[in-house]
Amino acid sequence: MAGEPPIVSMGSTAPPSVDEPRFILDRIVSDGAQVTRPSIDPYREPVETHLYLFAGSVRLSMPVAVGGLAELTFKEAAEVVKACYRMGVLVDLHGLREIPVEAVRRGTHVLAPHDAVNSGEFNAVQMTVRSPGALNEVAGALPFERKSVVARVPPLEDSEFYRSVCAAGFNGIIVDEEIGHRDAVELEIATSACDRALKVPGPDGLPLRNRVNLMASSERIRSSADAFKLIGLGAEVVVFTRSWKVAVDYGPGMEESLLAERLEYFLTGVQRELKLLAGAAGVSSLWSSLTGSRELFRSIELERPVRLKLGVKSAGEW
Amino acid sequence: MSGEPLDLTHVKSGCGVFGVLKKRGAPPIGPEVALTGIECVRYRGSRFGAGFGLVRLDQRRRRVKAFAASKEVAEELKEELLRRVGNVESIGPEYAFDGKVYTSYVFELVDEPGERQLRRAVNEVNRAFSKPNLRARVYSWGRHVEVFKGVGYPSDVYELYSLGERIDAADVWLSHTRQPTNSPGRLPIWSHPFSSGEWAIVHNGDVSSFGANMEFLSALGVESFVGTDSEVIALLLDYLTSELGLGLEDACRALVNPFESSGDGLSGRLLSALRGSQLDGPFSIVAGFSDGTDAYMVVLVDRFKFRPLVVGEDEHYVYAASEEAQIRTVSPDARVWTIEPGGYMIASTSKGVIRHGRRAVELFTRFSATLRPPSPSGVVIDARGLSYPKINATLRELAARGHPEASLLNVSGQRYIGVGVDRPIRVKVYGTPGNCLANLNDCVDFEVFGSVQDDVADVMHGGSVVVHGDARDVLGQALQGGHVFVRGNAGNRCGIQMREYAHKRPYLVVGGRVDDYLGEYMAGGVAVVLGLGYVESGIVPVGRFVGSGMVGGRILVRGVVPRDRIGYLPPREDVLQYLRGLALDGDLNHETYRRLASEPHLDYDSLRAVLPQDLLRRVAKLFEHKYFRRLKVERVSLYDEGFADVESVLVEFAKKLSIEREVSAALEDDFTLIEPHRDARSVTPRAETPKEEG
Repeated sequence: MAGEPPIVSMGSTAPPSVDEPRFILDRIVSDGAQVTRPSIDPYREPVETHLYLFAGSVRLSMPVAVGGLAELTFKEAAEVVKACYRMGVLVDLHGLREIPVEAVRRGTHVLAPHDAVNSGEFNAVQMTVRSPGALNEVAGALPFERKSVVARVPPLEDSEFYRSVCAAGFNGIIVDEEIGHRDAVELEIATSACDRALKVPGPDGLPLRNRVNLMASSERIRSSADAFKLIGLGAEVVVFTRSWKVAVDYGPGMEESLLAERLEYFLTGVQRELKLLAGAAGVSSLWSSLTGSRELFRSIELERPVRLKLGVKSAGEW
Repeated sequence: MSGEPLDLTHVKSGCGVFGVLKKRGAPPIGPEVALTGIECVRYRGSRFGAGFGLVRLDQRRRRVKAFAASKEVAEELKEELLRRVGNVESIGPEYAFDGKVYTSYVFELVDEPGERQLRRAVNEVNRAFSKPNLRARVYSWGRHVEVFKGVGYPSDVYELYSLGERIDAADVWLSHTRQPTNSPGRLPIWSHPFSSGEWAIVHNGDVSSFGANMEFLSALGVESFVGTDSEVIALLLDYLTSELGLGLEDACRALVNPFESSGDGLSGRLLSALRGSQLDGPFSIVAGFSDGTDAYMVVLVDRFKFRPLVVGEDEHYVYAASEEAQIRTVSPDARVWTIEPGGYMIASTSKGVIRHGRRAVELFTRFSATLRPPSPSGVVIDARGLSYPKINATLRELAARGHPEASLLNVSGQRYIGVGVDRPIRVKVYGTPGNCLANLNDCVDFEVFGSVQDDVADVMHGGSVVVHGDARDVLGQALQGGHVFVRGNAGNRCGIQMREYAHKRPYLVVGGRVDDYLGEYMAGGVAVVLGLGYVESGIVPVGRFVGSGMVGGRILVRGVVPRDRIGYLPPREDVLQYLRGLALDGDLNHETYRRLASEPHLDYDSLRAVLPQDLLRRVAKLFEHKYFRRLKVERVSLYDEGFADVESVLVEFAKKLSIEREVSAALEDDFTLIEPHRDARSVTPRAETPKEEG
């Protein structure tokens, strides 16, 4: 059956236990449910993966976006946009030379280059997502209310930088590991740094962090487990830019409908895996309970300075 | 046979909570009520922490209370407070230093600082005195709220503070006995209640959102935590209502975070603003609060209802407790009900019960109160003060000697009654038996004149349990033989994992209503919910997720059960989004989309009725997975062929509970039958003719 997570044993087959750890993510493990905090069976009980972006104006079905469309043909990109919309996830058009017309009517779920690309001030690419006029009607038949502007930035450890992005009025920040910068750090560290930098009271007394949406994007995001951990470090949305293409066996000349169908099953599978991971940690609401919830994780053989930057304790630490 | 000291300490369990609120015009509540209410579930706790909290409206100086490692540290703490909030008067330790690591010191504030200023000061002081080693910790600083806590059983802490002499009365009392799981219990800083500002809370559970909650609070400036999940609950309630100005109800909804599909949650906008303040994982919380003009008791339970909590009310007071026996001990005739999963109760001194924590509130106590039980018969045993091993040994002996009947009087919270009694005997129970009554029962017939608590008739193979009142959560788990009859209501997860064998088929009948997950993972047997008094008023007598994961057996519910309460469906918003996409793609006509979008219940069958096969196949991926079993839902009459067994069981149910008239009237109604589909594996149509769209 398509879109099904594999059955695994109690023991881990993942890094660092079996496979060689390659990234910081590989040294972070989920601290599972305990006797007094039961695990949740997501096949029979609700584990919620949905979230809201941009002050509640856009609802996503899961904390996932699909990117890396630059190498796709125009028609293929259009099919991906449509599939992502149906599945209720964001599609990131960064790098795409021409914007498909399908994206315009599905603007609530499309990260598109801003009309006036302004990358000078923050070394950032601006992207927009649009709010719908009314959620329960067929979008596209209705005017959009406003645009939410998102800054695409290189991974940095600089809290002042993130705060100034926020102060400049951006509604979201995409930390994109594929954007080069001489001070760039690992995505894990940058995601955590951005999340923590914005954990200060804002002008309305609410956390500044809750006014801005944080997304993490990288070619090396391999699986829902990687996404789960990045969410734990503060990302609300994780952008898959490469692994989805491997999963759908993308290649030149692929039939567009097959591409769309497989992408939908890929996303279904990711959603189910995220539910299983959350359920195993006793979490029934990913967005509110997992985002930035470092307490749900422990690290194995991660140096103390990195642990401190991430805010993740060592395995066995209370 | 009575008079033995209560010996239940070897029964290990989760924490115990208790709360009581005085209604307007009622006599004030003394501390002994809080002690009695918690000591009767002493076995839920351990010697690792207990405490009491109060709310009182009378004006007095604000008290800052701190655990300090020594008199010198306490002096230092006073200086720090002085520097931040003005004139502070030290009124010394609350109890003599008794060799414990910390002693509680009290400081009265002569000048009233602003609440925000004080909150900031407490935060700073707690940070300063927690590093590098914990030297002192402010744990209570309200004007109306005060906490007394320590290491020990509730009676130990009560004596430590001489609470009986120290406090005469309050408007709200909370008490707690602790079974530490995620932080140690050797220091009083980890004991409950936890308090911040004018809030104090006691908690049973283990909050999995703890990390996210700490992140949210640290973004608001909270810099120091003692490291147990329960502490964040008091801080969240205080910060949401005081610093962020949220109303009491919105704060409750933010913390409880009802499922999106329940329609009771906060808006996306508020959830975005407050993300990180939602609680997840198991919790039953009783909170005391004052806004300066009124005293409140607030009860919150998690959306899975993973922890027990009952509430009650009598003429003068409102109660909340882990077990019904606690309430009955202090108020034998109180009306008792339960909070629905993901619900909250709010009561205040001046307004009484403001939110009951459940819909269909008008009916919930119909069955439990003022029961007139028949006289005891057979061998009469006074169970007051008897431990369950003694009760069970006595019953076992009576059964072995061939006595046909025994009556247990004054039962109050004793667990495992009947376990190990291996020969037939009729047992009449008067009072409130504790959890796990009739577990593993094979041949004993129980009749309970009162309500029963959690986990009754788990893994029962034979015999019967007849309850004249209500039953609480997890009734008849893995029930595999015999009859379980409940006159009133039952709670969450009734009849889960029920099963049957060739020669054994269990029957579970509930006269009133049940909460969520009725018959989850059910594999055999019959579960019936009659909804007496509910269906007549148009109330669906079951909660949600009925028959989720069901693979066998039959569930029968009187009246019509909406499809969105049956099984576990994908989020309606996800399905709608998919259909919206299809409409935008031009694959689904807009008219059909709009019609589906306006349907109150969007389940697979309603899609099947309108979508052509190729579109249905595409949407099906949201519904289907490898563990999916399609459920068959039908309207039936119990006079139809195939229900003769159910009908005769219901006749017996009516007779045993003397409600023949009500039941025979109910039998005339249609029932909703829920059972797994014969070809249950898949929802995807394979060889069927597609229906025309529109």
